[in-house]
Amino acid sequence: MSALLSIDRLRVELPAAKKGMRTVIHDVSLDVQAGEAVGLVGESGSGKSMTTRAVMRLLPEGARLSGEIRFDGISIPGMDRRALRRWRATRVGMIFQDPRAHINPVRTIGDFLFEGVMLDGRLSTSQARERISHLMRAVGIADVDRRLNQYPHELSGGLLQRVMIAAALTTEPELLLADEPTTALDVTTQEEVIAIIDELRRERGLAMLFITHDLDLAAAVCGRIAVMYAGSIVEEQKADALGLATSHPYTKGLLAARPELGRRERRLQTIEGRPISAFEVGDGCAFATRCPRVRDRCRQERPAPTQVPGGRVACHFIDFIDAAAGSPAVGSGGGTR
Amino acid sequence: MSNPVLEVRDLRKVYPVAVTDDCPDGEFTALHGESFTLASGGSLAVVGESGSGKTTCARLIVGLERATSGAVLIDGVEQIRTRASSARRRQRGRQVQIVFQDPYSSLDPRQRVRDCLNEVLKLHFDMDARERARRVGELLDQVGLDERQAGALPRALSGGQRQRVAIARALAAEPKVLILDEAVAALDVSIQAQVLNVLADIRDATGVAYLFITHDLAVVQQICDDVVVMRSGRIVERGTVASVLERPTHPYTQRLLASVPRPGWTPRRRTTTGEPPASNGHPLPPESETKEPLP
Repeated sequence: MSALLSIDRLRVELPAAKKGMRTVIHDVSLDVQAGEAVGLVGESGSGKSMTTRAVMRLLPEGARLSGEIRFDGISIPGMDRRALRRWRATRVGMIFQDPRAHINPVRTIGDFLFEGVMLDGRLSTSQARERISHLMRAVGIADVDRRLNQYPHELSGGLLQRVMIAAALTTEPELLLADEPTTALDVTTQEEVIAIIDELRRERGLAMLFITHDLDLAAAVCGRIAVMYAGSIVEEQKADALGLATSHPYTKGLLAARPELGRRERRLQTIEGRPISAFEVGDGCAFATRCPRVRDRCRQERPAPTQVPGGRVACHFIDFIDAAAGSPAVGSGGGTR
Repeated sequence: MSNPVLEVRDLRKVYPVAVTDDCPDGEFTALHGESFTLASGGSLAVVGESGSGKTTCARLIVGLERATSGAVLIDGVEQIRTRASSARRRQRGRQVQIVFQDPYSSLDPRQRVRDCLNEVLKLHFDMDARERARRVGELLDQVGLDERQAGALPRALSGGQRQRVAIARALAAEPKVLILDEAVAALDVSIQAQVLNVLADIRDATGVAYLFITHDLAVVQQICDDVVVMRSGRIVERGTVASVLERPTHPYTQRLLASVPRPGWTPRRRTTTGEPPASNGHPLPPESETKEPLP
């Protein structure tokens, strides 16, 4: 079966401040099937947002892209302006971290929502009105008529993010790109917004690429998770297989480092050092500078993704990790100094 | 239990705001006369979401704002509410220090790490240059920074390293209370764990008390002994971390706990689709914009 969204060996370079190019994405291959939710998880600078920008063709000027991105078999980098506009307007919806940065502050909520539908041109004004009020109610906004006449500054962050979700769905897209949609929200509002996204996505059979730094959050709404580190996907697994024996040392380290409710550690396990940027990666494994299991081979040769039950992992010593099942992959404590 | 190092008594803060329909009297009460204590060498979490009053509380304690009424006592001594002289302010600096969420905006971009710490020592202590250099080395070691980073400017450091500098700078004054206002919230998970471990070590080594302002209950569990839960300027629940997080009694605390993503967690909608929430019977208003005191 061919995927709805297929990213194949994506590599992105951006012009550096002085001269030359800096690699921000080394090698990303990821498929999203129709109706499937896939999480793309990583820390800051891992390239997860840049990947969605590449998909949407929103990369900064001067960016150099290689590899292929296909939507329903059609190359996105190959689209002409007209086709691209049409594709963005009708087949894909985006939800961003900061709704305020993506909505015109001097236009009403109603103007904002109608603009998308009317540009699409498939609906009459009354049909559009009906769809918009239906969606507003679906995202849990009561008092639709009053809200449509309000301006963005009159709405709370949680409410505005619901408007953005409604806006992303007005043209009935097949794919939803959600880039940290709840990071700026309070935790109770986050739960509400995530539940709304999940529910509407399932009802409509939408595919979703969900970008976040929070593994647990991604696992709650996605069937499959890809973990990014320094510009590459280091692991792709079924959500419930993350952190198990065959998981990547980085994923295991992330899971162990996060304090968890109901479990107080004397000390948190840490990953030594700091997350590196994609351009700092040498010839070897991107995680080699921080990996507790690093060997000479890791520093010299970049590991290719290996098939494991439930997914694929880019690590030379995946068998070794397998053999050490059950024991934590990352050393405790000492790494903080 | 020893005497509390910090006591907050009936602390109240009212801000004047524009008169609107929501706010006909032109006043917004950020803190409704709340009280709590922090034990000497203890670690107290003040938990809440945006608008709960937790940051207002921190700002009143360090003296960045003046309370409308109520008192802040440090070691049993009430802090004056009128404009303080610089000597008084320096004295308060020896008692309470604060670390903010964003280390980049709280460090001088043109000051090297070593100079930044040295300046605090000069201000507060009568030490000669050699003693200061030794103490700077000690502070850097405590937060896990090395010689190379000591000579760096903030822009050359990562977010986690900058936050360590901010912590070292706060500790340089040897305060009795260190307020951490969302101090690990902006850090990546792998870095957050390192900083939390550093904070635990520092408390063990120096006996400084922490007032931990945060929205993150998992972090609270890891690093605090006691907790107060705030909502709309009021404390709704308090107790030891173990009791509050394991047996929360207030519906808001229960709701907060249920919202934390964790393995096996399923997000749930608390509001009904399309219908306005019931005016009574529903334990919580659904919108952050309508944060009202709970029944």
